[in-house]
Amino acid sequence: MKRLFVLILVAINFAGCATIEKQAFNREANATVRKVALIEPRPTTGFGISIQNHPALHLGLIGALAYATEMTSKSNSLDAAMKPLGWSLTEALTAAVAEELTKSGYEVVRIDLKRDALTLVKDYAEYKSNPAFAPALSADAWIDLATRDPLYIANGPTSDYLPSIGVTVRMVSAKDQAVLYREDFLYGYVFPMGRLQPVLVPSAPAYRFPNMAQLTADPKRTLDGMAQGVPLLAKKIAEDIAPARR
Amino acid sequence: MKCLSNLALTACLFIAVGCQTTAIGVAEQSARQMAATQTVASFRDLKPVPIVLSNGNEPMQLSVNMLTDATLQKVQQPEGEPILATLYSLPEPKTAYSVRISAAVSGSRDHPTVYYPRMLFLDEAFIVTRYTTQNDFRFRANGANGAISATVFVNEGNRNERYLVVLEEPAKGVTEQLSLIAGQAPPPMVLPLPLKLAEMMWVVGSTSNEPERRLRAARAGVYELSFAPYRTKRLGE
Repeated sequence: MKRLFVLILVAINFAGCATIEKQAFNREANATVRKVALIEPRPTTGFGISIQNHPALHLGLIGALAYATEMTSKSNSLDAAMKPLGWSLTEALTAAVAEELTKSGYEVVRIDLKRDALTLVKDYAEYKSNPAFAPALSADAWIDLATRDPLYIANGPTSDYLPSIGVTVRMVSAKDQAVLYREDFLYGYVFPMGRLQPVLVPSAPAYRFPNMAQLTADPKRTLDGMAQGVPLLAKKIAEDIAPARR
Repeated sequence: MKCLSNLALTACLFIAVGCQTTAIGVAEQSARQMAATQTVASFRDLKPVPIVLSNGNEPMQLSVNMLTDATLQKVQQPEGEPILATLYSLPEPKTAYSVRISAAVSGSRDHPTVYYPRMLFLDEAFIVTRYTTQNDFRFRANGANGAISATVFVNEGNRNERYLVVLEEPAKGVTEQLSLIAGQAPPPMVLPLPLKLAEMMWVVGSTSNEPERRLRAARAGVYELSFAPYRTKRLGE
């Protein structure tokens, strides 16, 4: 049920993004930003499956329920196959972004707020008294990472499954909470997402799986298809917000 | 039932023919523009397009169709053929501002192409101060096939920059890459029939797998350029 909720939330996130504003990072204007607090995303709950353009979705409420049941069952099968590998998207992504930011010249502190929401922090005021947030108070800017469960997505019932990771990144100034950078990224499967216009990072053609049996047959290969996206995303994020050269 | 599937097939054919025409059209228009435009010796000889931020501080956006723009000029290169270029005289606002350029992927699904622009910033003496490369661009989901975009800021330290030239990224600077639409079928199209069944058939039929495709750089295309004062918003604003 939790998985189903996540899938629905993903759909809502993508559908309702028309008003989101992007902000490119002006490194020269923000040259004083040297120490950043990297706020970890909410831990992901496991792998999921989504089939787009499913005929059942054209059959009203009964179709939607049938679709939800099928996706939940497939997600559970995939997650059961992947769980023994012990891979966490949240951990891998945070570590990779922290590493790339450090390489680019920032001093990075990781902050785990143990938050419940999948989305970016709405107001940091509520965290200022939280002991976990204390190290962030000495940083020049706060970089908030948000992601959702890693998914394998098929474009239709007969299409291949492609990996999918969605990440939203926002950097705010610690002194006045001015938004210095905001961007969305998608690895793998491309959703038709209107005005959100996320940056796309294609997955390797080798990681296309024709059906669920192939997807669960070799969990290590299935994981590789997903995990390969993490350093690619981290590199793009770090390039976007790299500090000005001294 | 057979009638419906024939109708779907006919619609597919029409769409395929339409796409092919589009791809040929872009190539032909591009070649025609290259042949018809005047060639000048240097950037200094290009006719500048003035960029003015209205009220001194309002964003400005313009769309340039290089395939049909009769005022377009070519500039001679030290080596190789002349290339299409447009010179803009930069605004002089009191604050920093951003310059964003984007170009949409066009052509057919089998031969997707994109105009890969390069932004050259020049000082008063037409000396290049900086320029973008392919690394400055990001691929984005945008419309049917996606787009590339790059944002550059003009800050206090760049006050000596007076001109912007938009021209083609040199071919050797563009590496071939996977198309944005790789592995994906077009979004389902609803047939104008009052039958849910027809819609379903189309949905299933249009979501089959597609081969990987490569996105190639085109010599001309359509791009959008926007200039906006650099202002950050606070959370909640």
